[in-house]
Amino acid sequence: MSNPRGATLPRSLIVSAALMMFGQTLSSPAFAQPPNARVGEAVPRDVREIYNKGLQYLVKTQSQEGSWIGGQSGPGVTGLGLMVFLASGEDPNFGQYSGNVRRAVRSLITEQDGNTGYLGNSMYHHGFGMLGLAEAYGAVDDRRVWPDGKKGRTIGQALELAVRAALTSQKNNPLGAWRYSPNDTQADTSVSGAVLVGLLAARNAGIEVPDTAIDKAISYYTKMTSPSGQVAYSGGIGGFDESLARISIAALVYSVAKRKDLTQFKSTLGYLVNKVEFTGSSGFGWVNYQRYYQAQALFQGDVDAWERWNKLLIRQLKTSQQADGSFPGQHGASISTSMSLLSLALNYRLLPIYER
Amino acid sequence: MNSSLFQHRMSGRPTGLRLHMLSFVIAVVAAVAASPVTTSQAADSSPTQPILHLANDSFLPGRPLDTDQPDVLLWQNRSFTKPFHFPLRGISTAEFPVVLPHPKPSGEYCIELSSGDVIYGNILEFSESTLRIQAANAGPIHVNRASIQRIYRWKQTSLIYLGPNGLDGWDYAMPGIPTGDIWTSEGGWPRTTTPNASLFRDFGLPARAAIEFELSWNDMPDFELVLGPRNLRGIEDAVGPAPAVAPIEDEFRFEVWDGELVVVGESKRDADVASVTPIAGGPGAVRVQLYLDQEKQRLYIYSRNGQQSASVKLHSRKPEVRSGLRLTNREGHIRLKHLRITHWDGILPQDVQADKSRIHQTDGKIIYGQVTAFDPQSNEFTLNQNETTILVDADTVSDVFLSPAVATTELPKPAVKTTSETPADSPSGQQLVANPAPASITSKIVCQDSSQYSGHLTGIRNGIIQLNCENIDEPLKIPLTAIRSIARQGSGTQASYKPTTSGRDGRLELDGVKLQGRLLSGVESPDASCLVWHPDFSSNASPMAKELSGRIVYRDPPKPVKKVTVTNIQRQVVIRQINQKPAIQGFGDVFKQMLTGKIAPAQKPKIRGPQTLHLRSGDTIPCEVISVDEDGLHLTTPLSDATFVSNDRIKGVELDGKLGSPTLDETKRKRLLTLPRLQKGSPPTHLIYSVNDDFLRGRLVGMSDDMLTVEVRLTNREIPRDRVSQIIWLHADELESDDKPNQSAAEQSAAVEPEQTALTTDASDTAKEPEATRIQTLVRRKDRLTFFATKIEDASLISGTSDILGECRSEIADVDQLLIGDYIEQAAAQLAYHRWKLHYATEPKFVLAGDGETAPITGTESPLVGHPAPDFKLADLSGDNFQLAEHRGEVIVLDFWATWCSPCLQTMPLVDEIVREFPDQKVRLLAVNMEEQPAEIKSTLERHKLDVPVILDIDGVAAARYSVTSIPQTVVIDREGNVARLFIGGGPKLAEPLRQALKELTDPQPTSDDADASETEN
Repeated sequence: MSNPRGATLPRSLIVSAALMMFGQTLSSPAFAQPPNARVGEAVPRDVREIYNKGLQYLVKTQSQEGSWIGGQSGPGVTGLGLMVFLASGEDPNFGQYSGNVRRAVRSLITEQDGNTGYLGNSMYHHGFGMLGLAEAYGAVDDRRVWPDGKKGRTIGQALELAVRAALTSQKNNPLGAWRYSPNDTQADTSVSGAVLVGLLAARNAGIEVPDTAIDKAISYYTKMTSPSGQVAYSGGIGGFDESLARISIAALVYSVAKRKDLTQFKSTLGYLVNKVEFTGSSGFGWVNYQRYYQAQALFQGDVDAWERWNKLLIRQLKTSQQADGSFPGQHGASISTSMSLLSLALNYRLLPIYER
Repeated sequence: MNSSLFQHRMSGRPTGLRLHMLSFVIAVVAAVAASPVTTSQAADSSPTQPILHLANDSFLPGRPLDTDQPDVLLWQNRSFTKPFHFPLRGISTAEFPVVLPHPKPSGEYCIELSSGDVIYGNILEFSESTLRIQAANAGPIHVNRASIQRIYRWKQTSLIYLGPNGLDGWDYAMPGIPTGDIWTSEGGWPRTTTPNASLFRDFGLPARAAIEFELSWNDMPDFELVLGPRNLRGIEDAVGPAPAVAPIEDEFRFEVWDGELVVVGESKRDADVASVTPIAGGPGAVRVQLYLDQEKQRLYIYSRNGQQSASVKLHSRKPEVRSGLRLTNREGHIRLKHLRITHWDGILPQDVQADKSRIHQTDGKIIYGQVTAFDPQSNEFTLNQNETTILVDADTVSDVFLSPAVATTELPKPAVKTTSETPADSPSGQQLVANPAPASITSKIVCQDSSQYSGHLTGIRNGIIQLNCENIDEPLKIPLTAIRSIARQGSGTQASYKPTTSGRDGRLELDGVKLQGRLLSGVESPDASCLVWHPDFSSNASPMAKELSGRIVYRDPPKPVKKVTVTNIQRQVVIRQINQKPAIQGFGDVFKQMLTGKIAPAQKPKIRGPQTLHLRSGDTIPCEVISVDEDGLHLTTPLSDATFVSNDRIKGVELDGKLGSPTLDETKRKRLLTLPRLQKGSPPTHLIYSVNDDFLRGRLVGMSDDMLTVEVRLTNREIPRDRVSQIIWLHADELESDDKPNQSAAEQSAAVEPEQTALTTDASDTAKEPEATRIQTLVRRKDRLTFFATKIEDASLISGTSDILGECRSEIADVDQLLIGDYIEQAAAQLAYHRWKLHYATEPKFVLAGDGETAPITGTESPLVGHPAPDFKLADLSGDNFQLAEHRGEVIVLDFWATWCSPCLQTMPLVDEIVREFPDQKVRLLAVNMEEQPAEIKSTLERHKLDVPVILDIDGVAAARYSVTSIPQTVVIDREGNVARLFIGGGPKLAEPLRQALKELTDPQPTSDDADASETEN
């Protein structure tokens, strides 16, 4: 399974303009990405400007080891930062950010526990780190990742280890989902979203993830989804509220798990589309986090709604971006910037996880 | 006394009281409606910086500079580049900040001169013609012996109070009125013109006291001075409705009855009254010496030359000794100039031969004789009595009278005429003071230690003021730092105070400044504005400094008309408009479009009326609107060649000649402008107003010759332009919260980033422009034009540049008001168009509550908050009663608890600790125990090592009055007796809100001035 090319095969069957381009990259890793390869409508100028400015901030603040420090820090932050570079459209192996990509990959693999496969100090980090690895898998050439004389795990090995860790954690969890600690017996829909999306991305990349594991996790989400489309945090009476972040997570995992048949998918998506002009309410988490999931959920569920929402997103990001390209947020500028850029990255449609 | 007279007076009292209350209400309304922008600082009770008041009601903070010119103050204010020369004749007073703590006078003696001067110091030497004194502030001086009226030892151990010295220590708050508008300190003398304003102080008055007071006024006064009032305001106004008739208290008071000052004694059983002195109209003053025995219920009044002139007595069964004093101004003007309170041994002064030189001793003895010497070494006065020499130990001396009191000249008052024809030796014998106009204008200097000197100001050198006094041999040198006020004495003010230069008379208002005067010619320079101001009275003009904010008023706006009438007229107009309207469609099909996706065909363009662009700065620009795009509005205007105005400067545009901001019922308007909480991140940016009074909220993407593109719910819709009457721009930085606490709570949750912070207003950008002075001319009450003024020619023509319109000129003769700097935006905010701004919807409680643990608690949710705290009388553990109503003036913290409530026992030490953070600030904690036995309570307190004052709510009545349903409940009551906070639940999260509440209540901030309502259009 460690052959990344093998992983591309099932993907190439999916009809997607973005994938066509991506497929080319995968089939010949040494091949530079052709210019203007983006398909569909031209990416608006505002998007390009915001994204490039944000990229510069991440370039400037990435440590020599490949991670981002200050504020929240760890494999989750590194994984998201890595995805921002991968989604930029620049060639991950030879383009202008290839050095940043390699450093981020090295950092993820170095920080991974070689025995358990656990990435970082919470399952949030594990989920986002795993997602970063899954998106890099097949796109980043392992031969170029490590400097001469040093050799670490390949991306595939690391990803497979990470998947195992997530599966073990789920197996030991009576709710079939995840919480902060790998050994937790509680679960919540926020941490579980990070892990489940990471698992689904790994599965899409060709790593073996048993259907039962996905089904168990999806069934946890259906239990947590109310008929109105609201999604509870960790169960219990009165657990439903208007957190657009959690509603987006649920809609997204149903989509990526290919369970759009579920009534819960329809109710969560309906909720999001209905409130497409609403930017969120105070008291329900963190706006960058909400947008990160809202972008993907709307894109996967209703492209028209996403387009309208995206217009608003661009407007908001344009006004909140700082002079240095960063976006402020309660968990530090690194993760806020990465999440903000990734919510915008749907305009490029380059990452495999964005495939519809 | 004449009881029938008394009865008659009494029956009149309650009516008068009600009238006062009514006039109080009117006064509050008037104060709110007309409070000017700039006077807040000047009206402050004690200035934080020196402030100069001119004879024409102008005032100017600043400081005096050195000058050699006699009878002139050279006054520098930082809003002007040069100091002004104000001759003394134009000055009313110069007030200096009161020094705290108040400096005590030095020396043993107080020497009162017939000129009204008061000198504190030690006596060095007596001679036939002069008295040599080591004077406080001024050093050794020779005082003309003939001018000395009285010498007394102020430092007697019996002294309780000598003052007043500013408003510090007095209690005078009134609900709803900024304290600065109630009493002000005039050279340290409290004065008011506010009806019903009271001044209260608890002096710790003993059962027997000697009190000497002096009050003065500008016209017929109407006041009440109560000795030993039961409470602050005399009426239990905080608990329940005020009784129709004020309850009778046992008290002695002075009152004015129909041109007569009377002293009244009144108890539930009886009453007594005595005339003190007649009072005539016009300015005047009264000085009263009285002896009060509260136990025996006697009050005696003595004339200043030592004869008893009146007395009143009561026969109450249970006389009470009360320790305060309250002065209430019922109407008109009153000033407390002197108050001296000493212990009294109960022995009345012997009858004196007032015309003879004598010494009064502290034991009441009087020794007649000519005082011939004083020996500071032996501390003895030498008296010559019938050619016998007597030595008197100074320690036994209370007063020294050198010559007969000369009543008619003893206390001249500034700028007042004779108050009364009453001779000093009239039966009442009161020193109702005559005020002969001084031959020329002199200065009266009051020092921080209450010394008073009058004379001719010869200059200020090195910060030391120089004064020539008539009765003092040497020129006085007093450092400015020791001075509390300099006032002009004498009349003859009004002679030619206008500048000789030409120019239109106006009133300049800046922060803390109000100056009548004229704008002269001037040119903008790097350091000074082209606005050159020549104040009335000043002998020179000065350019204003850069970056000021304020206005020059040439023509005051008309008084606001009764609002109800206006609204009715407007409604009628609107109804008529609607009735007359042809069948033009509004935005109905825009909504149809949303449902059907079909676009209705545009109608033929109609003929357009005159179009007007309203800027955020308040400017109105007649124009033809060409188009609108994402950056702004393209136009042509007859005013200039300008063709573009950016969105961030626009407030509204009238497209069809329908002038004035749209009218809409206030409730509907509020609803229309409410921003739902989930839409906070993407507020609508425009309000489109149709020709038939529909409104559409959205985002104007563009406007062409015949079509508007509006984004509604993130979808673009087309609207024919001829259906649009007006477009109002809604700016993110205008967004206001419905209720501040909720908004701040939402901010604290930090869930949504401040997206709006990246938006800056154009106004603040331009305000920082350093090159020129930004002004706005207001012409014909509505036309506003903002530009950067660069010069003023012939004191009549202002010219400059507008960054929109280019070259601008304006005739001062046409201008109603000239607005300067940031005040332009403040004034614009009051305009009708600018009231169209979004406000946040109230956050629901569950959002504010957040996740419980981190939810901020405000303590303001209870309906009891803001209302009078229910009164109760409960016993404490030692059996003494505590009645809440008797503790007005204190901040009370009630902690409802029980021994079985463990959260209560955890919270109590926390509350106790926070209350202890406010020592000496009259903050009192009372732990209200709920229905338990003292023994049980005591043992619990001991076990938990708690030392808090406990009161016993034996039957739970107090708890019921405070709606206690779960404990701990902590109630904070302010000094006026209103519930300020009510916290349910305890724990560490109570600490900060409680501390904050106590901070606020112990350090009340003056409320900011209300907006100038008179400027609001419509």
